[in-house]
Amino acid sequence: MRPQSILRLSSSPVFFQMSGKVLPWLIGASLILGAIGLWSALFVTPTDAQQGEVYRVLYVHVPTAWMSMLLYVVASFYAGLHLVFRTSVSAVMMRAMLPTGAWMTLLALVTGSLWGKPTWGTYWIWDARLTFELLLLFIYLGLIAVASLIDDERKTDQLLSVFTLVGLVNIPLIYFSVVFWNTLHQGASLSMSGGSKMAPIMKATLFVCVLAMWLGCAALAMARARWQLVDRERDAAWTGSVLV
Amino acid sequence: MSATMTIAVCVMLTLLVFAIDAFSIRRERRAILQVPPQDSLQDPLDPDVQ
Repeated sequence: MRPQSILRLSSSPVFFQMSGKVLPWLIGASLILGAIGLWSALFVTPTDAQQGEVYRVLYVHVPTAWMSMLLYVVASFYAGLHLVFRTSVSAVMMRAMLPTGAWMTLLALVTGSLWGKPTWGTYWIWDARLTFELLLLFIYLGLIAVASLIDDERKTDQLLSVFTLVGLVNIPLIYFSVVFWNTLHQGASLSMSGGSKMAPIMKATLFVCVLAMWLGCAALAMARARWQLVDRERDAAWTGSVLV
Repeated sequence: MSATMTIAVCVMLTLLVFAIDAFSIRRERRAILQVPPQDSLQDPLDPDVQ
């Protein structure tokens, strides 16, 4: 993609039109991959030698935990873009990531705790990774509250961008918590160095589940962003045909 | 809770969260489409608008 094409996406009507075309493909691919991932996770992958059947929770827990962090990183990227370029698209994209990110964080905490009971013997422990993930949920909720409390949209966008970037410091703390501290939480499921102990079929299934979750979250955030954009620019000429 | 039950609850919760988020976007979209643009709210006979 040429740099000019990427810059064109910062134009509100172009973003609305392009996202409208991409959205059905994202939803379709997410549903298909989700169905394949779920089928493989429940019926194809073998039982874990140590944890038994309950390990299958990781096919839901790991993608949601990754999405909780990834969505925050993407929101921070748009926050940075917004502070530099001040476009409506960057503002709505930053805002649109927050509710889906909060949901993913809550899911990661709940599924993790359901897995923790049979594996660790407790639903919750003040372990470094769990605590920082809980902090991420509070950061998301705080940002959502800030976004809805202040009436002046432009001022809120700037404030939200700064707060989002400040909260970014929590992401490496979550990711590297299992390295920095002695934690009950297990190490990384997959690593860049290829040191994973997972069987290839388990790894492939996890990858499909992560991809399905990523596409699903992208679709939700994009759908939310395009309608927020229409709402924000309802007096602009390009929204005339949309709001008829 | 048995392992099967735990897995079923996790899968159901995930699907439920996606459904809730999608439904909230749909509701947001409906609300946005129902509010008329600012121009159409102004009374054309109002002398201040002229």
